[in-house]
Amino acid sequence: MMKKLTLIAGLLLAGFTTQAQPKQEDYYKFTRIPLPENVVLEAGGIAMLPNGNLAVSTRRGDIYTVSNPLGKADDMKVKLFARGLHEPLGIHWSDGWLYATQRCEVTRIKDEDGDGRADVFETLTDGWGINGDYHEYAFGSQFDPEGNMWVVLCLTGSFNSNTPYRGWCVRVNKKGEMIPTASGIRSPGGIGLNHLGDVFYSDNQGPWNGSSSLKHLKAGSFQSHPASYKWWDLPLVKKHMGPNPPVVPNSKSRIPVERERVKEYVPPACVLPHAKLGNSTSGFAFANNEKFGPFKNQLLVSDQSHSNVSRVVLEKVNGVYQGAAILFMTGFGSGNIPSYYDPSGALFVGGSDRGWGARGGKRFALDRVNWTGKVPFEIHEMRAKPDGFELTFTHEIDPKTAGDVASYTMKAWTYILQSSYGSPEVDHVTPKVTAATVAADKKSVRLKIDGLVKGHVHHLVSGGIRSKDGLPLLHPNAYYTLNEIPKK
Amino acid sequence: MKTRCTNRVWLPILAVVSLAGHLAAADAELIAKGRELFQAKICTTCHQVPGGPPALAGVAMKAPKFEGNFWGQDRDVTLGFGGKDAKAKFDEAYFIESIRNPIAKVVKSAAAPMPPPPAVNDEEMKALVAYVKSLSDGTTPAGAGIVAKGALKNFQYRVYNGSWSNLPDFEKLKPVKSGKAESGIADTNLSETRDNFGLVIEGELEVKTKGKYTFNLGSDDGSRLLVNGVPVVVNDGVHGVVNKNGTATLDAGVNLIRIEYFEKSGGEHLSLDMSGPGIKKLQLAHNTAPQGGGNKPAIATGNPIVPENNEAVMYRNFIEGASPRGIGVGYPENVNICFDANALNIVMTWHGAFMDGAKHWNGRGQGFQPPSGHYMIKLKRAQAIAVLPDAKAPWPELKLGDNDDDRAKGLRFRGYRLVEGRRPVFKYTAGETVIEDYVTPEAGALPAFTRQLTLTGSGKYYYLAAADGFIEKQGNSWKVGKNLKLTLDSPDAPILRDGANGKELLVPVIVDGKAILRAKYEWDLN
Repeated sequence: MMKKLTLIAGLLLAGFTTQAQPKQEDYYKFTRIPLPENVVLEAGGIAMLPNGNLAVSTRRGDIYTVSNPLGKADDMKVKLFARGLHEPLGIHWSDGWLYATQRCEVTRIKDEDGDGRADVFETLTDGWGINGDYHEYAFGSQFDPEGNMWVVLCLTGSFNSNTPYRGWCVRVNKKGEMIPTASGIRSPGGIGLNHLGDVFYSDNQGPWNGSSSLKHLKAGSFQSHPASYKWWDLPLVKKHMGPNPPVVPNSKSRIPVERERVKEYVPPACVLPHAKLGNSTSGFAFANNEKFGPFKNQLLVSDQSHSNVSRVVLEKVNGVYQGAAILFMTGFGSGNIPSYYDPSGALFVGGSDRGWGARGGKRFALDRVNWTGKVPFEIHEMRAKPDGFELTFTHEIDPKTAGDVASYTMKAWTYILQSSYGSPEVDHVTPKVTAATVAADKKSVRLKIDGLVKGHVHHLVSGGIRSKDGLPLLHPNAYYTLNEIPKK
Repeated sequence: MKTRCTNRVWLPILAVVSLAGHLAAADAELIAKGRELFQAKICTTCHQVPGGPPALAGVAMKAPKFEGNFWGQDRDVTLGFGGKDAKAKFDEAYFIESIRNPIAKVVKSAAAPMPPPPAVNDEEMKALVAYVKSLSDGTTPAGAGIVAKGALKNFQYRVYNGSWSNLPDFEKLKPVKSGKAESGIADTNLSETRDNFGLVIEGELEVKTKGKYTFNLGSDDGSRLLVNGVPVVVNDGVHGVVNKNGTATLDAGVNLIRIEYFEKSGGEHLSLDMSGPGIKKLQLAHNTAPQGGGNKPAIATGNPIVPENNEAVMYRNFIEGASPRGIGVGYPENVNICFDANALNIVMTWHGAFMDGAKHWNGRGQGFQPPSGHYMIKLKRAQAIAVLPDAKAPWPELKLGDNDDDRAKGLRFRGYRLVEGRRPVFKYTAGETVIEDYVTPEAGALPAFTRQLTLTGSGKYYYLAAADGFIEKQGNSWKVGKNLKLTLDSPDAPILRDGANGKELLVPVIVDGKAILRAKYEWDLN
């Protein structure tokens, strides 16, 4: 009791000695790209062109360019570059072409006569099926180090695959060859590479997906939804994926259990818990330098319905990707879909709320975010340990609060793996923080925790911790998906 | 039924049918024929009629609507398009002149003069006059012409508020509003709300002849028709416009009609027709609710896609009549095509308004959007080029089911490039042979176009110039189906043969370096 009172007094004191509560705006500045009245920029893809213009593809099938995208909003000009495409979600510049993933095909586009409008549209591959269902979205990545674009193909609706390769990831090379690569996709919202060239995509809550999450795609993997097995008789599938589909996962089960049965099953690298960090995980980007704050190479993952971006900090344990999701920024204009990081230090996030409402409130928007140069007090990284977690911070920490186990609480849960839609949070446990040891450099804390559960999402609230300057964490909640507990 | 009989406070509506004598029956037949001709002569694509499908092309052209009280009224016209202002009385003479010579007096508000419709002979003209006249309010003497237009009048209605997924038991609910409707036609607009309401309409119908009558009840969302207290059509549940039929044997004299209806959200629709002894089609309900306010209008409009700056415009999406890989091209010459990237062929062509993006640009965008415009010619959805062992071999067919995404055999789509005026040159390959497919439109009262196929490579191919139930050589051209005149320019003579589903016009093409084929498509509406 005495101890608690001291803590509260300490908190009050800290509250009094700092001025205003820190806000997102202190650290990151938003610029909304001004749009002419007749431009409906329901952003689906964003790419930087070599001439310094930013290309943005839209759900209506247009591609616009924004001139001076890194400068003042007043100096930007939005111009039509191409139209008549079929809902392109993913555009990328490579080798003199703008590659666009349309619902029906991957197309490379060029402005041959240099008049600022595209005039050559070459079909690279149209090897997958579509049958008129609005769900049949196709998201395409940038090219990987081996020269392949990775394309994820939403199912026909939530439950079925009615035409070839719905529910698949395929790779497409520049010769136009299509390589079936992974099965088990449900409803993607974005796809991209991390700094190592590994490929991730977001999949949305629904059948066989208890919550939206970010998933690691690798050749031969299975991503949870077995409707995609239907196409295993296609010779191309057999050639690249082997003669037989993986075992069908059991419904009403749990991911760790089914991973034992289905050897190709790759668990979600990071769950973005439904209704907590968002409802609809979408595109992501990462800063490949220090010009966006101290978050180099962390994945900046968008959510369509909450109009936000979370940081996803991944590590590999026992060969499996896993890690923590921490809210990063809110307040984007519409329902975030694509994002693009420009190495000058600008994160572009575009979106649309058509069909699925979004907190942003605008029908469509394109936002640019720049770092003010001021570092927010945040959990920098969260790493799994055999008996707990290690946290690192962006600022030096106050050893007293950071070293106090009462500064932390933890809950953990998982989701039912099932063929019906979504899942409640289940199997709740309350792991206990038994020790908090501050490192000598005062930049990290080692937490010992009783009751870690393999496969669970571990929700750590570090509400009591203060920086050296008395600041609370800007985002005290971290959600770590513990696919594997490291042995050391 | 018991409740209704004992609680009836409304005046029984007067039967309409009984007053229709022989003369009215003849009128009814003429009107019914006129209604069919109104469709067949494609008036319906531009001129909105009450309760009819949205006249999409008419929106862009600002074509006069045949609604309200128009017959016998004066209207502002110009003598010739853009000519001198004048007044014209909408009567039989004016109507006939407008069809025979549309440019003579053009309604001032129209964006363009009416294109000449297919020829209308004198007998057909009588029927069209009778039908269009019947559409106008106040032209029908009580009890006479109503047989075709239909009218329950002075019936009782009750409005309920609530959100249901199936019809509730309205007798257990308290109406928020009730009254008599002057219109005499059951109408969802009586509710004066657009979502979450129920409607009960009751009235009497007197028929002259005992016999079996068919009722056709259409609604969005659910509805039910009771005749003399017995359910005859049940069209329950939340759905888009669904039509269902039912039959009832009616005695001569008064019969009790009860329509129950509810609307959850989105678009609303209610229609009821009856037919039977002496009644061709009697309309008992229709909609006057504004379209487009809900989420699911019958045909989505509001986002017209228009060729601008003398450039072609493309629309790649789910287009009704093509595979899921349809590519619409709207040309400033007022002619449009849909190139199908599965068939690798032009599968539709039409005049006037190009496409409307509304279906795909609102909400999640489910479904196939029909082309706008008029004078639609649907061409065979099969590949244009094939390799055949000989000229007798069957032409490869595509599976055309809703879920089929079937591709042309031996061909591969390669995209397109835009040339002058952003007009696409479609490109596909047959092995090493490259085929370029390019349309050059010609403006005019009836726009036309020439399609040029350039084959570069080598080998022997066939070009399916046309496939239709009717193909006949007429002079130097071919008449294909009802409305297409096709003129071919090819090194080798075309072969007319019997195909699986009618005639096929094949052109053999030997490619050694380069071969060029041309086909001119002209609308022949006579």
